[in-house]
Amino acid sequence: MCFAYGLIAGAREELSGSCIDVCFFRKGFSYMEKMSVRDVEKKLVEEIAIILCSDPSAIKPDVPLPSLGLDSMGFVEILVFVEKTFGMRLIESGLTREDFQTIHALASRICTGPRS
Amino acid sequence: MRISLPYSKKKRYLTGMDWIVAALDCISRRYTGGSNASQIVLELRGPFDDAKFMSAVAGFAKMFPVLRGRPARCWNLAPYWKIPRRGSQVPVRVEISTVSESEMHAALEQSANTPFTESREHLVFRVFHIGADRHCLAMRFDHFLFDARGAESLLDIFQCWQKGHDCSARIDGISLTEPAHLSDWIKKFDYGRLLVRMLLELTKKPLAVLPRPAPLKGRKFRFSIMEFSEEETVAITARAEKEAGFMMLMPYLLGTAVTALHDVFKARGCSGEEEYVFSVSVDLRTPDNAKAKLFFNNISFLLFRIPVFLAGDRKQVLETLRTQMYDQIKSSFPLAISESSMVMRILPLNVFGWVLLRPFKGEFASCGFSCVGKGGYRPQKFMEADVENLYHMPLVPLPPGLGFVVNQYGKKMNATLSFVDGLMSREEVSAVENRVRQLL
Repeated sequence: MCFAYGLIAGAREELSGSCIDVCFFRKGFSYMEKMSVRDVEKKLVEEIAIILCSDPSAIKPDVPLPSLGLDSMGFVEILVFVEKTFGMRLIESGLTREDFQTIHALASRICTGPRS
Repeated sequence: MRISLPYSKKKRYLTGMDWIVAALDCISRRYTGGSNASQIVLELRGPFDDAKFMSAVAGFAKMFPVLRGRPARCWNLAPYWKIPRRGSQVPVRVEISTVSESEMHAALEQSANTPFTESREHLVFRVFHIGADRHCLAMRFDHFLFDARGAESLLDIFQCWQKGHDCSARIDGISLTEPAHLSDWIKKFDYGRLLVRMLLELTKKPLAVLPRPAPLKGRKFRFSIMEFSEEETVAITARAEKEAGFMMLMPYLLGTAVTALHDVFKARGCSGEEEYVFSVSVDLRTPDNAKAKLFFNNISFLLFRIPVFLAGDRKQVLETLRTQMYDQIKSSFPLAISESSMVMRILPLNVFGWVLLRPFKGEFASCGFSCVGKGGYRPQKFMEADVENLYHMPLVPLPPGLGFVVNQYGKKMNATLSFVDGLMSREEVSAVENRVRQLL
């Protein structure tokens, strides 16, 4: 069972080759929806495609993040997206390879929820 | 009066970041007489034909009239880069000399410090022959026209072109257009407000800086190049992941620079009341548009503050750097700089330079730091010779006149410490080198 809650309304502006999030994360229960690992994966793929300015279909969830061309900055952008979208501040977690190796691993980590 | 239209092939509007880079150039010239330039060095082994190289450079440069451009102002007051028409003369100087192994470093320093001969010169090649099959190629470039990764990419295209490969699609794909950015003023001012708030926060405590040597005029830059073998680079990457976290190489390297330089600052009497501010340039290119965005500056900055009393403890330094990086990206700080600086393009460079130094009362940062993205120059050969290593020698704008640049070529990592002569003693530089090697 997955307990991640999804992005309700989102908008994104392209600004000089970089992106700014203007996503509106609403905490009202009526807007929340339960998401599966697959749904989370899809959202992450869409976000990474925007960060890398590439086609989402070219991004495979089981490919290691570094081989997608992400650097420290891009990786932190994903973590920021995760916080804004799913309400989880992963930067304060251990940032272990197992949790972040692939998009699939990250989606599973998000669905597992915060660790005590 | 002739009015130039936007998207003319003869003009490329300058962005706010280009204007910041140009203002830093203006400040550097005022202080030392040197410019905001840098140099890429390729260490080569194998045959190198001087005549063939000179002829290739001449042919290659003809395709890029932008190399002979100059800044100008449009009727709408936006600054732009005036590009000569296609087919005009684009001479790029190539100098050849022979040096001994022991003179090599001094020759490279001399090359990095030798100014361009005229205002339209932005690129110079120097070839140093050390022996029959050992050479160094130094490409000195103007930061107005290239950032570090863009300059590496130019060399990459040059190698592809001179080998006779079909690079037409790649060359045609290089973007030389940029909108004037004269709309969305409210958004730009909002970003400006965000930036001012963050700068006010940054400047609450006094900035720790190394005292500038006097007189500054005419002072050259000195460089310390630290090369790391393939095995050492693998070990550094593994330690970065263990100590700073997955994909946290940049904060790890920055943390190492902070801790290594801290000893020098401490010995010069920096107190616990002060804070270090490291300005870190970050590449805004994505893997997809990196090839198109070759010319001009596709960067922004992150500003990290580290209390002096904390700087000796690398674990805590890494923790604070990681958190600050996250918070700054979350609050769109790099974007705030690049967007709000569009507004500042109205200012003449000398005035803008003065404005840039206002928040820290005449200073800019304690130290500059840059981690050049991988993959700008990929080939293992240059002309016919094998490339053994590639590294950068930047003239870090003054203030602070002190900077750290890390780059990776192939599987090797290099770290360059750049500083204005007299800012650090030989012993201090040696101590920093040892500390960096020990920490990495």
